[in-house]
Amino acid sequence: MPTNRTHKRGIARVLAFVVGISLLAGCDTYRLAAARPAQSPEAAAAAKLPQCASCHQEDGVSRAERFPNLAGQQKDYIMAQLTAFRDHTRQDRDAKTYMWGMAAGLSDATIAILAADYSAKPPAAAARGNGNRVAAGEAIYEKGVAARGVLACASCHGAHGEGNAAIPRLAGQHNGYLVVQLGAFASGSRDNAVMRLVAKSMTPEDVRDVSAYLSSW
Amino acid sequence: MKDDPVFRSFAGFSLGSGAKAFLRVAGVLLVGAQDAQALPSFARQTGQQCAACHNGFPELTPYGRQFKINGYTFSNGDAPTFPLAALIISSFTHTAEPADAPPAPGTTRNDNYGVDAANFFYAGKITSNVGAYLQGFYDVRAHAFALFNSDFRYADTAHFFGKAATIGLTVNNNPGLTDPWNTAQSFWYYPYETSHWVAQPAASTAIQGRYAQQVEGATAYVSWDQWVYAAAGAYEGLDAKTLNSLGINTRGTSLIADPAPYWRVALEPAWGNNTLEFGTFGMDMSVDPLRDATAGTDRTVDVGVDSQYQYLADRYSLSLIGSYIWEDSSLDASRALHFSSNSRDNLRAVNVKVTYAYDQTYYANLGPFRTYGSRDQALYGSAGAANGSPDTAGWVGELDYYPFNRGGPAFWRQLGLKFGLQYTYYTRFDGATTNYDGMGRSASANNTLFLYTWILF
Repeated sequence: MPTNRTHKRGIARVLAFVVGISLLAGCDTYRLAAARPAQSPEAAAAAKLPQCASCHQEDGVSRAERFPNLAGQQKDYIMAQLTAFRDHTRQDRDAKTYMWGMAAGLSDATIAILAADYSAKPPAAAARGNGNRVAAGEAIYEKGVAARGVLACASCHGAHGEGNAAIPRLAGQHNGYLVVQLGAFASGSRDNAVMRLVAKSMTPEDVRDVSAYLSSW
Repeated sequence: MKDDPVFRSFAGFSLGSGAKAFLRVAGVLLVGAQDAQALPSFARQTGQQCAACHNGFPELTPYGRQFKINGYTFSNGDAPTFPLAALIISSFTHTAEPADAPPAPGTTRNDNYGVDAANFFYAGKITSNVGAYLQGFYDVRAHAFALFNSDFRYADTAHFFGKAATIGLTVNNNPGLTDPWNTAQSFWYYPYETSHWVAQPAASTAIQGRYAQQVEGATAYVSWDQWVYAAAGAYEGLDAKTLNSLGINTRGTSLIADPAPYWRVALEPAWGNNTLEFGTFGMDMSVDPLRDATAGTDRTVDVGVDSQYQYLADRYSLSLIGSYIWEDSSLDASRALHFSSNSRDNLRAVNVKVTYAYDQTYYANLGPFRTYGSRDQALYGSAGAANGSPDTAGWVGELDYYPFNRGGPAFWRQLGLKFGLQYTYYTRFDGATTNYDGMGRSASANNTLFLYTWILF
């Protein structure tokens, strides 16, 4: 019949297991990270794509609005972001939660293949937006807000919101994602000098308007 | 002890009180811990935070469901090949009134505390299409080691009607354990951890874990375009000798005599940051009561419906889960063996919970539960319900704090920690509000304050 003494012996065994499991798990992690056999970039990308699709879907039009649509996104932009996730230079919350791990260990060549794959897919169809917000957002996108020093989005992101190279496509992006990202630029967790300036000069209303407009585009 | 097969089986009622106490104790000690999900071995394999897969573990996020459906194989370039993890559970339990006797050797009638159990896992990717979730359970007080949950999976991607689908096969020992939603089946439904040291209701349905670890089975499943899910398979009982050799207690358990069909269908539309799952599940079992085949078999059919709504946003999340289970049993064999009074019984179980979470670190949960059904003096009477009624109802509230849900401290990134403060309030227990056991004990005497910690690494 167990007594206090056997209980203590049980705890001692648990502690021995703790040390053992930690050592094994730790050694395994570091040994394998150091001596990973080379995999071709094509094979690595093929293995990674179903994992991307868990949140971004196979066609690049994601189900949840916290995850961005990737279909038709600029290839250079996707490459830059995957590199920033891998190198931990993009530090917004979902980047840390999901993408740092997802991009860990990806080679530049694999990143280029993944980016090419998603950028070649047809962009998402426009969502339906609130009419007043869309109109207000369109004005901000095209002309900016001179009184508060908000630059016209179109000057970099293009007349059709299509982006250019490392500047992302915004047309058809999820409303909720854009709102969160503008917040991340303003707070500095996404480190981009131009976008920080823009996002900090926008009011919450501006953010909601322009995000509604872009998602309905 | 909702996960305790002794309490939910046909056990005890024809045995002396000493044997009954032994069965309860053995059941409590051996099958005490049903927990352990936010596994550091998964985190090491994916490089992701617990919060990627878990809306407070063990509840899964949409991405966590995909991880499970894809056979635990998602990994990155730094993934280890030997996915080990461990979980240590410690707790303190206080009931409104002390139990009549200590719930287990080495415990007292109330206010029990200490290290309860250690769980060990081999959980993660084996090949790019094969993964495993294997759990061993070590009872600290009883010095008993047992094989606990085991789930081997194969998963691959296919295309149907122009959309991607994940198809998979799981071989496992716990019906419903493999479900992506953890809403109602097996014992992975709220509250996910309960005290090992308090009296638990005499009745619960079979699909809520009665045959956990007592069976082996396989289910094939398909997840189409991430919103249509279907699974079908069968489970068969394992003989006592095999189970005992794995450290699994079989006293007081019954045997699923023929392969029991199991099914699960669910739809999960998504919009914005919302998902809404609704589905059905069930199992049709031929049973040798108390593993006694001399009087033929009983038949138990469970059919459940469940729904889960999740809103998971940047800062806070809201989650609602509800389930209703119908159980109808033909008990001709049990009746012939005097294990039951009736030749037909029915049992119903309702479980609901709502969770609000802030920053995926602070969680508040609240939910009512109710189990009710036909009176059966032989079945429930000697298991504690003096009037033979299985009716139990109440509320469970729980506050949880996960300090490392977004990554452990710098020196130990994969350290997981959960602090739970739980209160269970019974309005009815084993068929009555007052004097449910015929000895003057009220349902409210079992109201329980339960503090626990999970340490995962």
